[in-house]
Amino acid sequence: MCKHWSNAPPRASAVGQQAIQQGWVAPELAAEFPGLDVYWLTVEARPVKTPDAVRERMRYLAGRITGATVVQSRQDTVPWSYRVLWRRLGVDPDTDRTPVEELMVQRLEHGGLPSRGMPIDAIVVATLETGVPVLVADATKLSGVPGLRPAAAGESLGGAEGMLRTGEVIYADERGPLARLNGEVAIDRSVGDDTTAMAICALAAAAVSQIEIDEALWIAADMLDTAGRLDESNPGRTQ
Amino acid sequence: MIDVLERSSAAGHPLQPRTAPDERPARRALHGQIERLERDLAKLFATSWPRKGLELTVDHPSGRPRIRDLGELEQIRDALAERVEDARRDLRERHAVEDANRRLIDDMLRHPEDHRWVRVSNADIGEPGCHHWHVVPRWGFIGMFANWWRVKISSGCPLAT
Repeated sequence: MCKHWSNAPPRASAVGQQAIQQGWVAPELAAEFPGLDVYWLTVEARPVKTPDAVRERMRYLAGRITGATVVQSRQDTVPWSYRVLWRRLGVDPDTDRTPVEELMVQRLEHGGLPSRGMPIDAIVVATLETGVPVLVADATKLSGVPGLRPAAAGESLGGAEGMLRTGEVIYADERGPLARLNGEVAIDRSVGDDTTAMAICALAAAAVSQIEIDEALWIAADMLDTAGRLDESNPGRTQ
Repeated sequence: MIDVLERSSAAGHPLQPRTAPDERPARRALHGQIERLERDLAKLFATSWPRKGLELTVDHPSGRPRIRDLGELEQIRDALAERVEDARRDLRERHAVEDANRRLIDDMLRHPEDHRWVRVSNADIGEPGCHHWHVVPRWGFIGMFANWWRVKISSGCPLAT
């Protein structure tokens, strides 16, 4: 039923004990979109205030993103691959942008990358650095391995706008829908004040190499791990 | 042959195919075409910068991400193809105008008196920045009456206030 990573053992990330694992893709999606995949890892982390070092990194990152960079990025393999995926799924990437393009446009509109605390800032940095869409959910509320499948009739992410269309491609686990492809996480799975561990998921598309997926996950995991340690040594937790 | 047809009619399924058509090759071909057209559109997007007013958005409604049927994939492909074609044509026309403007700048520099008060900006030749070439008289009114003209080249964008 599900496609599993069978050739290689889970790889340890730079953070230590975590390992990147392959998720699953529903057979109809795997047949239609070769290369579509989910990779994920978990990290022990809580939602904390963004450390100064990360804010500095975001400032540096924002300085690298100019109008010309955004224009050029359309031709770069990774952002382009997700545009193609969006287009093939019937989503107009100029209207409902891919995560990396959405962040780039936000950067141009706001003149910078405003800090919104962890884990959001970790997602922003990982996505902008690699172009790979990354999302973070509460790992303790995850049931089994995350993957991709079409939504069934009546499924929802919770909330007023969480209703899913039948057949909509979503992240899901054994319990049900986890998130939309644009990174909108189900209300009952999202990171909250009681979160102690986070699951970081990266969406893989055709033509995106494994190292780029791994790098996106490592960046996010490393930042969340470091932010948690700094917060422990210097309490003052704010979201 | 006639026997076979009669037997089929008697069974109630005259010449009905017993297998559903395999859509996979058609779907693969459409996905490939969408990929190629999206690449062409990305190139046009990058090439057209910093020109303004070129329409590069695809005229196809955006929906929730799902597996599209053949008809929808064809519509997406057609909308992309139409946009790429239109954008190429618009860009060709812009290039022709910009080439003419470059030649005009050359001529302005050689014979400024033939192009009095003409002003050409970077945008007119498809370049970024605020640079412009402006044919003005030397020494104000004296130059106007004496037919002494020159091309004044601006130094760039005004400073931000």
